[in-house]
Amino acid sequence: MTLLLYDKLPTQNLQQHATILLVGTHGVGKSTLAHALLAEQERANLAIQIRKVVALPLPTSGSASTRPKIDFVVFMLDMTSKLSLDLLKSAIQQVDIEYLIGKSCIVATHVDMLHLASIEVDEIDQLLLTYELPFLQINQLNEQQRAGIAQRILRQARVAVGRANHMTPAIVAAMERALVTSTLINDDS
Amino acid sequence: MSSQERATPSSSSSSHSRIATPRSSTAARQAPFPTTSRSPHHSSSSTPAAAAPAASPAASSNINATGSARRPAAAAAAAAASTAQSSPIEEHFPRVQSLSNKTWHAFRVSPLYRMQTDAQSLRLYSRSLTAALVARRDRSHAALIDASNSNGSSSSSTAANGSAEIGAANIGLLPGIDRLPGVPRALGIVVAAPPRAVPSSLRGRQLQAEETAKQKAAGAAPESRLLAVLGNFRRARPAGSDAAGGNGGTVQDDADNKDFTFLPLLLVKSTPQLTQEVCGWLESTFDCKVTHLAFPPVELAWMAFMWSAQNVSYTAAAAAAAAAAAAAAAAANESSPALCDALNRSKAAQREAGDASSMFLAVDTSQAFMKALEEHFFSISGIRLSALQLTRIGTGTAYVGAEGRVKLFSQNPVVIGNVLNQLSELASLEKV
Repeated sequence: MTLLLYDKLPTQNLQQHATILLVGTHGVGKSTLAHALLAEQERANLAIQIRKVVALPLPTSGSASTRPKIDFVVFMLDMTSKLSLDLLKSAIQQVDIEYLIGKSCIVATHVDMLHLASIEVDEIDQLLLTYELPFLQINQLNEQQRAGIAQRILRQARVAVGRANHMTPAIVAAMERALVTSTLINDDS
Repeated sequence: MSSQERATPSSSSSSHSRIATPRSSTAARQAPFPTTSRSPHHSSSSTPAAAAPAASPAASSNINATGSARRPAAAAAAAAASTAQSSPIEEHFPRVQSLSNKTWHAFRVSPLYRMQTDAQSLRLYSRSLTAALVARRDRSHAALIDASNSNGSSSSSTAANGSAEIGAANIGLLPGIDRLPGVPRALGIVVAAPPRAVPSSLRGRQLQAEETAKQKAAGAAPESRLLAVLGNFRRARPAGSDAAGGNGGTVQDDADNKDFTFLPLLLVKSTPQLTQEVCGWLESTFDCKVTHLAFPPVELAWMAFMWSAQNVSYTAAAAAAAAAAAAAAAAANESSPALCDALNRSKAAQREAGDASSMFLAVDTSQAFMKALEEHFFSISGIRLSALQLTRIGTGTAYVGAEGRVKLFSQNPVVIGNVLNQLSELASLEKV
């Protein structure tokens, strides 16, 4: 059962926080990223709730009804484990297409361990070409990088949730492409 | 007439004539000296390898009786061993086949500054290396190295006097590898094991020299062992080779790089101490950096795919050493067709693409191969290979470990060339 965007109502809390889902295998660094995100939520001006899961689809047993609406999905990838890539590929297919337009991104961890790199860059390129998701790379041991990545994710999540005025993910995506094509046209003329 | 005789064998050798001609000129100079001892040599001189011993090997730049006595014997040995070796330095070196069936430790070498590869410089480097090895061994003795004194004493004997474990060190060009088109030179470092006793008197030294000469005359190969191979085995790309992929052998390639020689791959087989010393000597002589060459799992997977595809006669059992036992049951297993299919596809692609472009095998066939392998393994044992780290691969061609150890099995020089090509590519990549 795919993860649908609109099958739940938004959370009715006073805080109006967003829910971020981290998807990744064991050992990929979800907890570290979660702590970094929580630490940065003040600066990003967005209250968040973080959920972690190893594989999609989400189980449909008891706690399914109390789950909040997922606003943003972060797919995590471990560069030293090929298994994480396989799981990621299957997880992306379990997610509704609405999520793939600006409401999700891919984060690759353990990028500094080049001597243990198990994933070919070509495979990741294929993945990005197919899904066109923002791709962030992070060395989780570096504090600055963690904070930076958290900021970027929260910025995207803000737009995804709707807390940014007059901005939707589709507009952001359209602007990115428009920028690229306009530079090309300028070069031609 | 003697020089003419020598000229014809040297011209018969194709790629080493450049080295052979200075040799023959020095031999012509030495012609008048011990004429009596060279008559048996002339009688057996119809072989092309006669030019080699006639031009006296570098280790014995000697003109004394011991040297000349070993020339006929060396001629016989060289004639028996080789057909195309005419350079005397290369007489010491075994052929490229000797690279196989040994476990090599791979290092990556940054560009070497001001390294000349002509014979004169190689001799200088040999002497310098011998001196360095001897000096490091004998820290207690005074560091008076006789290697710089080349009058009437062969460097092998003096070095043998000083050290307990090292004889002569020789650096020269490796033959056989040059035959591959577009591949630049490779250097080999050979260390000769010395005689057992370390004499202390002058008389003892003379005896030592004779003994060494006799041992060398008996057979050059058992004494010396090929210690290290330093080279750049990358092939020039067939279409549009860029400067970065060019050969490192010719020093005058780029204006910026004309002082640098690119020999990124260093394969060493010796004790750790000796390895360290040789690497230290390289670093201090040529201002380079020698580091371990580790292979990440991505590269290992790629190598496994490439080299299992090269053995056309091998079945799937040889492709993965771990699955060798499992492959026997593969016939009954439904996932094995995927593996065999992937293997066959890669082999077919290899065959039709030709050997030269084997490095351009498509990435997706490699992925399909690994995927098929993983599925096969999972269906048999329930272990997901993708969750584990790939540290060691074994194919019919070579065994490679992640910490940088390589063992070649193939005797085919083309296959060896392919393997070395891949290793050099990895060695010359700039990684953080």
